[in-house]
Amino acid sequence: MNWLSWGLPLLSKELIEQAARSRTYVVRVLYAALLFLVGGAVYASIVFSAQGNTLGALGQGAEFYKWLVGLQFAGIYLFMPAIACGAIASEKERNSLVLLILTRLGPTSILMEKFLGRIIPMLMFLLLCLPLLTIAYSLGGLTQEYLWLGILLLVVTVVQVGSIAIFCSAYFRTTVTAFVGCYLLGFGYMLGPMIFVESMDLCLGQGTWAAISYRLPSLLPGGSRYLFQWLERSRLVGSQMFLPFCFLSFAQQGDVIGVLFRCVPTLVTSAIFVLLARFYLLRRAFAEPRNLVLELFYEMDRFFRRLNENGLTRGIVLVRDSADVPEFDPLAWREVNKSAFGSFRYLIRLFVVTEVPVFFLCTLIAITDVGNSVPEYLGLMLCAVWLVVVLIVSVKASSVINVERTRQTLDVLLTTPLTGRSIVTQEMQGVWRLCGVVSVPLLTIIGFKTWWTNGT
Amino acid sequence: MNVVEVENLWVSYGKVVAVRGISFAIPRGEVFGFIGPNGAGKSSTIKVLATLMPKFAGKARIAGVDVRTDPNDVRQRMGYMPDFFGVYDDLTVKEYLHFFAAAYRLPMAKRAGVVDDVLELTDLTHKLTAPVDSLSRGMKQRLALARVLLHDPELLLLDEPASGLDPRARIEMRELLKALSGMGKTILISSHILHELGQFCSRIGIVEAGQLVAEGSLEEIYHKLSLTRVVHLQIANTTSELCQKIRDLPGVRELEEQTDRISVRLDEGIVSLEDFHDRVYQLGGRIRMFQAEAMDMETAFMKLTEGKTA
Repeated sequence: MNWLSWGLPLLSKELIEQAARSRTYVVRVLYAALLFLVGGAVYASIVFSAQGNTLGALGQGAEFYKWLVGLQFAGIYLFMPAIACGAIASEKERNSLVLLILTRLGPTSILMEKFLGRIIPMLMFLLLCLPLLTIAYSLGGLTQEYLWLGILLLVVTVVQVGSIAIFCSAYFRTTVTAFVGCYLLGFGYMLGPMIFVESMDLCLGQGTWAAISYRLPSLLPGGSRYLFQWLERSRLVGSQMFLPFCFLSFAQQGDVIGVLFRCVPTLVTSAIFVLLARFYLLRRAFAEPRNLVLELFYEMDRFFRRLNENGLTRGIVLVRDSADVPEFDPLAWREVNKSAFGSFRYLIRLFVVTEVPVFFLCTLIAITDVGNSVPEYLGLMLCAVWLVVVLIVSVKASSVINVERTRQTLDVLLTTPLTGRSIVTQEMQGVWRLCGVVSVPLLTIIGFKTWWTNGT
Repeated sequence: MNVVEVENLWVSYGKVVAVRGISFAIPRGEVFGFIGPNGAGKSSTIKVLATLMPKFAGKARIAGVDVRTDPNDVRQRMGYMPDFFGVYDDLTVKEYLHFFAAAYRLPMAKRAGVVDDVLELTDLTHKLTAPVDSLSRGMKQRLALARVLLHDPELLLLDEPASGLDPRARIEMRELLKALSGMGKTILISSHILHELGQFCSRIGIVEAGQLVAEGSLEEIYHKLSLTRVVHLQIANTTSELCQKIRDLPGVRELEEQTDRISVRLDEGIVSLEDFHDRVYQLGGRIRMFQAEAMDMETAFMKLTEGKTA
């Protein structure tokens, strides 16, 4: 008897399911193609930098390896949330989680088997790099410590991102919300401390945080002291939780103890995320699907309506909603009237929420004495805002047709005289509006950067 | 004139062949029941007619219009109700119907009146402003039927419309379908709740493993099956000699002696039930019980199918 199918039925099922899906192989081939393409380009650049002399590339293995691990890190951050976010959330969507809970597997076993079921495919992705690693090693200049520390950091990162994703999957009702939640939580958790420390210095002047972290710990109990020291270190070496920084610093220097020491907080927090996932697995198993953004907007509607009902404004409405029923393009009507990021007044709110902080930060950077670092700070801000914008737009765009399928309305739509092109065009109306709104903060930063660069 | 014409239809999903050469036709105004076990190919056939299955072999026409070459015209002529609700939960009943009225390009001036009419027909007028999400399962199903009627199609394709409904909702749905049939709509309805179809279908087709194993009016199918009808007899003076004499009667295919009765498999094409009764009497049998097995739709279904799927 296969021990795996006897002892870990859910894991077996997950792996068999994945193995049976043609998508698994398509994604794997795509991943490998991208990896080998970029790896090949890096290798070519190393050889060309040696003026076409292949022998001149000898000893460049460490450089090649650094690129490969960097690519793998990017692969993990891109693929792992997509792989793991649906682990439990998709069971909730299919109403099949309850069936699993009713078995004798138990919630811990369900969670761990699901977790492993998503970790293993990602590790398989990492294995795709082996042929390139042999090339890197054969080029020379790559120490065994650097090699193994890189691999260790990759595996720890898989566990780390997987644990955040599995927590989001257990907490959120749908795969899409789990996916968005995973990226937002991961971003805050990995880069939050660094951004916090840098923001403190930016707002209150250079050296402020260093002064605080030097003086305050002596006034605080032991635990808080470590927190301050850790935050200070976050600034110095990048975030403790963002392991690519650790790879570029400690692993490159061959500091085994340093790397192992820095893996501990990551593994501890990963364990905490898994425990939280276990905690929420049953509590959120029957959570009703909720659109939190829409609910927040409805609440704000009520608040503003109450505020508007006074002697002065007398319930004045500046911009009225479009028709209460669709006239010609029903899907477009639905997108711009019924979705959270579709209607005019909701987009105005999104505009305010995204544009005001960006404008404030741009102004702050300009008036704070950061000298030549202004373009650098603005560049970082552009990257951060771009990431958030890409996340919002890609999730919105990728879900427009999928939501119709999940809601089982796509078949019904396809039997109406609406053509496929018309359905897609109308569904995209909301996405274009959203693109217009979220591009404003991006343009603000770019404009600000251009103005600063040309003005100084 | 036939509203639906299907000739030698084949549908495959990869290597799995779901429909294997089905052919049938439905004249205008007829209610055609499509019966078969799960996986028999009913939904696949209906999906072909609903223009949802671009890849198929054979011919499928609705009101003379080819489904493959002119799907847009076909969509104006038929209304499709799938075996799931297919409703937007974030809309109200009014918004939902106006949404599909716009999708069907109904003239603006007519829309409000049409929506009122279909709501009245489906008895949902009082739910006009209710969110779709708040409706019961039966009401959602009626709303889906209201949606199908918006553009006044000549053909209704209803895939398991009573699936998952409670008895009251099923009766309401049945009455609604009878009313639509009375209005002259041609209806193709699939179900595996057999006795319900029997009450208002003018013809049925029994599908198994992707093939039409029987087709015709209920009487025709019953007649076809009852050619080997089983008759249970209790004869007060049963002897083995009498049993042998009965066995030798024309039309008797098989006779089985049981503890309290004898079961005779009768070929009704040769001898009618009444004549057989008379002949047993003439042989000296003192008949205490003469019970021909009832041939209802479930029996027909069980007799015609073996529970195979495509």
